[in-house]
Amino acid sequence: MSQNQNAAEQREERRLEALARLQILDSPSEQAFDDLTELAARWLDAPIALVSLVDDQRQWFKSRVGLTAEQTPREVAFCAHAIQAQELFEVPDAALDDRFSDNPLVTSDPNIRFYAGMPIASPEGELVGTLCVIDRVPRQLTEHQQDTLRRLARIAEFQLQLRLSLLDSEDRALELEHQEALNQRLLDSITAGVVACNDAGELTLFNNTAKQWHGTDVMKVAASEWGRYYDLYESDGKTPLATEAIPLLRAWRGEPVDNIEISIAAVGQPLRQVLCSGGQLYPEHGGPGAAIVVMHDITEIRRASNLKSEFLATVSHELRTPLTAISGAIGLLRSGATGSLPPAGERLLCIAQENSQRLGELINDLLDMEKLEAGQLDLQLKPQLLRPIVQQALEINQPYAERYQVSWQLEPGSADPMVRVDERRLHQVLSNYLSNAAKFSHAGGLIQVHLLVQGDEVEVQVVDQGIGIAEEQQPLLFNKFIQLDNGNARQRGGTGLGLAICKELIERMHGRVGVRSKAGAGASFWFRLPLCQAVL
Amino acid sequence: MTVLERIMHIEDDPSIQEVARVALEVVGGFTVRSCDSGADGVAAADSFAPQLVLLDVMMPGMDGPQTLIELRKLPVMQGVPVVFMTAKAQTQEVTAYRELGAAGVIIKPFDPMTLSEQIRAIWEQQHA
Repeated sequence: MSQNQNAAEQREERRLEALARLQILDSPSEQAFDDLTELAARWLDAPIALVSLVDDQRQWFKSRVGLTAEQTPREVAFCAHAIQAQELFEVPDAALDDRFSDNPLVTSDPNIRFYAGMPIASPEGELVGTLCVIDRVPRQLTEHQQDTLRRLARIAEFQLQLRLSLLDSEDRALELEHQEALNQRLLDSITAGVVACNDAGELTLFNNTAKQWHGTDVMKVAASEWGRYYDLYESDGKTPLATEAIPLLRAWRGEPVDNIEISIAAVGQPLRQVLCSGGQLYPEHGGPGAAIVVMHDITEIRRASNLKSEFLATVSHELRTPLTAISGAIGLLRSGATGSLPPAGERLLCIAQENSQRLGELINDLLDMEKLEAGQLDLQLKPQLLRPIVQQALEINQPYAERYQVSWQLEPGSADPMVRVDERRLHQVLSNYLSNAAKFSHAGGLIQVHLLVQGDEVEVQVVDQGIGIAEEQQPLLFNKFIQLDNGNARQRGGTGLGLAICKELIERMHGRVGVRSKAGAGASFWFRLPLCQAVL
Repeated sequence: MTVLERIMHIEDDPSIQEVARVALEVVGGFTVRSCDSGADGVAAADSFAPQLVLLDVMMPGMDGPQTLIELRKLPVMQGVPVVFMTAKAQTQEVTAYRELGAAGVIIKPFDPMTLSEQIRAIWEQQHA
């Protein structure tokens, strides 16, 4: 196949697609097109006038004057020639024209002798048909008549444009209708509650879930009445929710609404604790505006969490009580208060004491994490000098250094800034950093502690020369229940909560934590605290 | 200053009771009266006439704070320091115990070797 043939086929394909998009073939007659053919016949004094559309195998007449046939085969169609010409196509005497002299439309009814057709372009520019006039006698159009035919053809093109616009808007309307139906179906089938308001701050939407939770549909009530009408309470389920705290109103005002917990206690409905997130629909407009809020029922999660807290508190207490007796009894025995012990007995009691201490530490970690998560850990922040606290931590943890045969030192020249901290909890963080450094150091290793003031913060670094931590594992270190599998035989068990607790504690003291390390090249665990300007 | 000799220990757990008794008697040299419950302590107060009471907080029946209230009603207990011994020792809890009239709080698990010293320190503070 030649390139020209190929290009011609592609052109024809585009033309037929444009024709199909118009959805005009075999459509009912329309006054606008009928007026055009009537005017063409009158003004050009022709017995036949047509709006012909050239389909793949036929020409079909959208409008016709003086002809009964609705369509003819494409191979005999004069219009098929006209659309190739791209300009006004005129055949003064078909009987004398080699292309048409044996055409059945010429040799028999309707006995065409004269043809003039002006191509009609689709809105995309594809020539889909013609407006043509036909006579049974040979003739020629005057220039004035040719101009008339061109102008009428342009009106036909305008009609096609209108038709396509109408079809597009109908399509869009249908699409919108489908989208709305889909949205509604989605909204009504999700288990989350969805509420929305308009620019004026009036409620416009409760999905099925929201209707069920509130025990009612959207009502026309002032925002100040929403709390009462829709049974809104604070997360405690008892205190009525203040109007300004209602998540949808906050979203309407343009405030961030991210995981805000409230309660809904509608009559006939169980008390629900819900987590609300949302925002304005068009924040770019500025000022108060239409907003949406999605609510998730977290009642069961809260219940499970409370049960877990109670369970942990009970278990911890029940574990601590016997542990108190065990470690107390061992302590008394080892002290010699009840008489001297044989060396083997002393060694065994030492093992028992170390392990009861470990058990105590594990229970403390679990309880601390639980309290931190529940927001029940009460920190007493006071302005204090940092260096004495660090020095004391080094002394208190000296037994750790001895056990793992390492030494530590506070670097001379370290700063001594004032920080606002809970001393006991800061000791806990330092003890964790130091004991970790000891555990993961090689015997004989040195652990250095630095205090560096950087801007309006102080960074405390605990630097060891131990086995280090691979880069990909570092981001996990401060997560809960993380214990890295580094194959170090010196590692001792734990809850995997220690560093997570450190992170929480330091953050509660308005600081940050982190680690710098390379596998095999030691680690530097650090925390930063804001400097405190207060005077002791 | 009067020397501290008689300590009443009210604790429902027999193991802890025994460890504390040994710690206070053997290490501290005190005379100890161990009681299994708050009611037991209230009943024995008159005859034992303790100089200091070491009181567990979480006990079945009458808990520590309730026992403290009942003890305070007895003439023999007027001015006798009561020290709570508990694992529940967050800052706000300690404050609450002190508001109830506790002379001190000893945190569980306690160190039996230093328990007597802690008790003596509280006693001296009370009589300073």
